[in-house]
Amino acid sequence: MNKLFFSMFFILLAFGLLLFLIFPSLNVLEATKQEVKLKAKELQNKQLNRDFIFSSLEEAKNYQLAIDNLNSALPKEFFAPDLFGFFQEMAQKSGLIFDNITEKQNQASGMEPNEPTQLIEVIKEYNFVLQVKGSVENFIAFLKKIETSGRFVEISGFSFLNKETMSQAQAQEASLTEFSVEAKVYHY
Amino acid sequence: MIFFKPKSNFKIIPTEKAAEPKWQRILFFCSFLPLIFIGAVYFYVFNKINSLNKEKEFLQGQIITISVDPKNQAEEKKFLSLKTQINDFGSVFQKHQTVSGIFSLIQDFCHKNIQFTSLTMSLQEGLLELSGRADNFVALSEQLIILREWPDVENPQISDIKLEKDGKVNFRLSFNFNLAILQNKKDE
Repeated sequence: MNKLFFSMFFILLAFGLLLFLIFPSLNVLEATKQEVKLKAKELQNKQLNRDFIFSSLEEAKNYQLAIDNLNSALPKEFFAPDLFGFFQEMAQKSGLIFDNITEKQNQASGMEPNEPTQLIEVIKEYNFVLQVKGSVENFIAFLKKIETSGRFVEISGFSFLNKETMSQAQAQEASLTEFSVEAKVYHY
Repeated sequence: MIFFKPKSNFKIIPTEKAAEPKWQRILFFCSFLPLIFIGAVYFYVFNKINSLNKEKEFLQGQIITISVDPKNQAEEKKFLSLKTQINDFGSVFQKHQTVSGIFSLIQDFCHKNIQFTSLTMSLQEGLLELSGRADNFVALSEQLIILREWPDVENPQISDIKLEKDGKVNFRLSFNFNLAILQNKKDE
């Protein structure tokens, strides 16, 4: 009688342990397995990401010239005198007289940054009006030089007035055509 | 003398106690087996959870090592900066227009008896305003006809027509143009 009682007790005890100890433990085991799998995946992604960054930067060394051009097109450090010097040089090379450069109201470009991170700075615009004197042919050459130069210049408009047609007297004094160019450059 | 009434099953001669059925003994011993099995499973699961937790900590350590490594951080920053610069340049370049092509366009539609003396171009509006001098009214009307039939030119208008003493005609001309034409002129 006692043995039958104990037998039943042990079987019920085993059933209770299965329900309240083994099953929860198996659940914990499964959850831990999942966590480990996720961590392994995260580590793998980190390693792949790191390898990709390292290999990309290594490959970028082959395009150093293009990267330098990119840096000059969108410089991180912007100095207006450098820009003025650049235009003066371009004007001289094209046979124009560099007359004046005037800063206009400047603001951020309004472009959305491409990466939502703290590292990314917003692109800023530097608007200006450039005035040069010379012949139309030289002015065209000047525009082409600017368009193909490493400094990225966005011309938004230009105008010129040929003084020869205004009055003959003035034409004697200043026969050179005055060109006014509205343009902007970008920088960080 | 006091006499007790004996129970009905009371027997003076003791009888042999009935032996336990065999199945009860088997059941009794077999009832230990689930307990032993559950104990074994529990210890296996417990050890497995422990080892998985250790593995998880190790992986977490690796992830932190990769994340906080100054070399990795520096390279990642450099990579992100370069990536953003390339993307930004792409966005800026998409909007870029080359303006020197406008002279080629003017050369193409300009009537042989007309001379343009001033020019104002606005890329934002795609508007070109010109002042000019025509040899006579016929040349001016022919110029207007040419422009009306010119592809990528819209809404040509002539204003401020003025006959000079020398018989030449001063005028102002304005029209809208398709910005794509600048790209086409550049490609030519």
